Amino acid sequence: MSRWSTVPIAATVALLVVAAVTSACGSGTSGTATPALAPAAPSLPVASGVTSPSTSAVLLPMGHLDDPTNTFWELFLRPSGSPAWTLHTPPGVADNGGLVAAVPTTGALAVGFLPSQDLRFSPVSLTTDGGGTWSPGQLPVALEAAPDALSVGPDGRLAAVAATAGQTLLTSTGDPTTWLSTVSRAAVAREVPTCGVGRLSAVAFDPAGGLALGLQCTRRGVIGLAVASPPTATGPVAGRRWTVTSATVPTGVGDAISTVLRLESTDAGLQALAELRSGSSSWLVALWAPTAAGRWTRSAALPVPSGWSVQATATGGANGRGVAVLLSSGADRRIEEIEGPGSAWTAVPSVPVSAATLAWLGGETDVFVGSNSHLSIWTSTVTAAGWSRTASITVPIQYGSSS
Amino acid sequence: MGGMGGPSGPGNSLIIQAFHSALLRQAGLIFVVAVVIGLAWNGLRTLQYRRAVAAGRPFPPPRPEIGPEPVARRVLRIGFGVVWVIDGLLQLQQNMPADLPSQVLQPAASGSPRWVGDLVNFGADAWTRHPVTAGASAVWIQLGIGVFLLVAPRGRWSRVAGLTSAGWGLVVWVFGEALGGILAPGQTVLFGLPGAALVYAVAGGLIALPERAWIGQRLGRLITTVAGAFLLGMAVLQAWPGRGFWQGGTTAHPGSLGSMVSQMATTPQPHLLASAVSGFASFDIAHGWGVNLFVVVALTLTGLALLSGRRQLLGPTVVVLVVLGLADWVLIEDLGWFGGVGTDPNSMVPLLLLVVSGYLAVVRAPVTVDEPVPAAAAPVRRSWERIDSGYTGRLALSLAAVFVVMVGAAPMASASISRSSDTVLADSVDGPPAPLSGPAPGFQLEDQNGRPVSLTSLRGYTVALTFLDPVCTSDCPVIAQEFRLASQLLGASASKVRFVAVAANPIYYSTSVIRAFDRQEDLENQSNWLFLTGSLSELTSVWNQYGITVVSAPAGAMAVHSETTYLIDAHGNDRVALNTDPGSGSADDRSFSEVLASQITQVMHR
Repeated sequence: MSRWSTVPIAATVALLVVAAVTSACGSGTSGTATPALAPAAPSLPVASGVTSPSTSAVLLPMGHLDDPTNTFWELFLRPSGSPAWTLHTPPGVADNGGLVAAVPTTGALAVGFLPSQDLRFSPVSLTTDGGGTWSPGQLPVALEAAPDALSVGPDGRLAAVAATAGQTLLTSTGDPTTWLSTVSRAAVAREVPTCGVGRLSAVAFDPAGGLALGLQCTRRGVIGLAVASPPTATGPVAGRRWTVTSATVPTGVGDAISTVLRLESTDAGLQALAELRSGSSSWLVALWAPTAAGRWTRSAALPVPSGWSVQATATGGANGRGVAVLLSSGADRRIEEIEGPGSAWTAVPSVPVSAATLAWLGGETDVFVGSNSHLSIWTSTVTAAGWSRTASITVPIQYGSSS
Repeated sequence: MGGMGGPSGPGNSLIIQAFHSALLRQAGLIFVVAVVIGLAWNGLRTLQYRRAVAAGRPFPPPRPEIGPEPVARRVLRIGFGVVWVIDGLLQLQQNMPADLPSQVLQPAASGSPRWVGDLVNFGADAWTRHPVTAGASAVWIQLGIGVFLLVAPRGRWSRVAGLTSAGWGLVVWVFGEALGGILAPGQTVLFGLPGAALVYAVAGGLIALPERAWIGQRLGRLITTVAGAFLLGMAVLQAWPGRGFWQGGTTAHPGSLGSMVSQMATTPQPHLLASAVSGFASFDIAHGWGVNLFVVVALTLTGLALLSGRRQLLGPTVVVLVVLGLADWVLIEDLGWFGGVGTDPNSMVPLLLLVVSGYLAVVRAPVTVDEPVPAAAAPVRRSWERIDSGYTGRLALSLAAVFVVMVGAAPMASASISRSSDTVLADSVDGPPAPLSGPAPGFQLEDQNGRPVSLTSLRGYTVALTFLDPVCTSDCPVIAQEFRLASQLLGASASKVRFVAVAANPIYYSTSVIRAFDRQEDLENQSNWLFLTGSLSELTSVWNQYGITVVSAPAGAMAVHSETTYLIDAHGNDRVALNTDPGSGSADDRSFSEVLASQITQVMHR
């Protein structure tokens, strides 16, 4: 009997330890440990609006947003002078992965499809008649999921940031099905060591054909805007050197790391929007330059309130050099706009809840609120107080078509 | 059908039909073998009788005097034998082959660490690819183990039965029950922790012990002590804050236990039982704290009583455990076997059997046990004459039971290491291939390299012709991979086959986009692969001739097209049409490839 007297105690202790460990694993408060993750691609808000002198474009997800195969991205266009937005999603490809639009000041509007499910390269569609007809092309690889991963140059060439193959900048030969690998992320990183390039996050041709890249910088205090040197008005981009041209981050946020969210060409040059992060704090900074190789002017840093994040971005405004940001916290929304160099950020009051994206056309800000297949467009103008619903559109979404 | 979803095929009914056919075939085989074993046994008995009569010895010869099987072991052996038989019969349910992986195996792993999920996925994948083989195998293995335990009461065969039970119990516990959910959050002994199959394995291990292990109270005390410690551990788990058992919650948001029981009450089952279970769920939601306090106290007290080893406490404790355990089995575990894919009566009944056996091993422990030996006392000349006639009967039954287990285990082992898939899977999604006759419509297009290709230029080859959208996100890449795999399955014969796809998108059909598709699908270097395109009018003409609908859909949807593959013989005649809609499950892709390869082979040899 004495032999067995220690067994209950040992067994009890063992079982209690097991139970405690199991319980701790299973308790709602402790959960399982999450391994540390290597730095990954930044999650950039692809929903966006772009206003050029000829056309305004807006991209947003609709359908059943909790089901990736029943989430469809839609493109709405509004020609300059037109009072209405119309659906012009390019046909022929399932766009569950997202869309990226390049709206040049003149010439063809290009839309890139982000891959989804088993499709691993990015088809491209171009239109020269405001979305009436589309001609197809494709990148040989996947497009980066960033709102300005695709750009159309003044000569009709396309530039694209590819997400795959270690990230590469590709330029088309003029035919949207034939692309040249121009420069890799690693090569840019070597040439602009002051940035510590994490990702290529945007690309744009300036009005003169110079090519600029937006970067995610892992070195603190630098906003990553790089240009090919010499500028590439003509001739191949490949083989040119890259230099960082941007200013440093504003005083007070000097230890922040940056990601260029937007990089757009305007009649007056280039404009960009960068997000700065330091710890749990973040700020937004708008930047402008007359050419890709020119000096960049930066706005004051707009602090993003704690618990808020960037939902969508838009370029446009009264002079075409403005940047607007839609911030979200749950269903709540707020909009901050800045007209151009020398301006200050201004808040647009009482933004409709659950807005998905926005557009900024002259004196008018439009927000787009999707609910399954139904889209409401709310407008705020400088002359009228508050928001009014200016359009309600039912989109013929084909649920189940991607599963 | 890309972008459209295909018409559903005959569905699971084909799998059920194949399952029933397999069971019937195997039952026939078992019957034949049982008859052979019976005849052999009868022959041996007859021979023994004749020899005994000739030698003037009594027949049957006097059995050696051996003591009875220890009662605790008998309870364990017969109890688990019956439970295994019940489990085997539950595996006969018609939805088992098709639905077990998605409704039982994979949900069992939810919440467990990834490596546990990987183990379960290994089993689920093998079952998914071979639903008929696996479904029928599970029936025979479990019936066989149950019968084996019941018919082999003593000696080596009985211990082998225990080992078999322990082995299969562990296989089920690891691959089928995700380690009983012991590493998943929110589990409780009330709902199956630590997994019924682990209890089966422990019981099997005990049965496999030499009978001398049952002499005295030592083994019984070990069983009751471990059971007591287990109950105490479960009490700690049940009382642990933050696991949700102290909260009853609301009807809309019930607590942990209320949620489990409410879910069980929705399982199809007799109304009376559903009402009882649902009633308990409501009671727990209203009095969650009180219910959990009762459970924690009951587990603690019974655990302490078993741990104490005091004989006068064991009896009442076991009675209390049996009463509370049966209440748990009915009101919380809901008997465990309803819903069409219930695999066992859950863990409470086996746990109770184990505890009762431990109790009996303490209070009715034999002082000595005589293990049976297969030899008669009288000296005889030949070995088979030494075999006790009662032993031969048990031997025959044991052999039959082992054969039943093997009828299940052999195909199951083969299926688990096989990389192939049952072709019935593809048939169940798309229906069987349709025979065709007559010349196939001609076409003149160009391939991915810009070279002209016509049906006439493909004479001499068996042609598998399909229609693919090069920018499709779902079905077309899967079909392309099925073609690629079918080519591999054909081996050397693949050189006599041309796998041909015609572009099926009214916008994206350029040579460059189909080359991008080929790169994506790793088909660039497959010499028998041709992805054809042409002008839109040429493509439209081919689509129309082959009855393929291609439509560009609005609002971000992919182009819609029918998913048919035509098999054209070396003389240019249509032979077979296959619906190649891969359905929703990617684990079944290989099945389509095997159907395709098999049909191509048949067309080649016509």
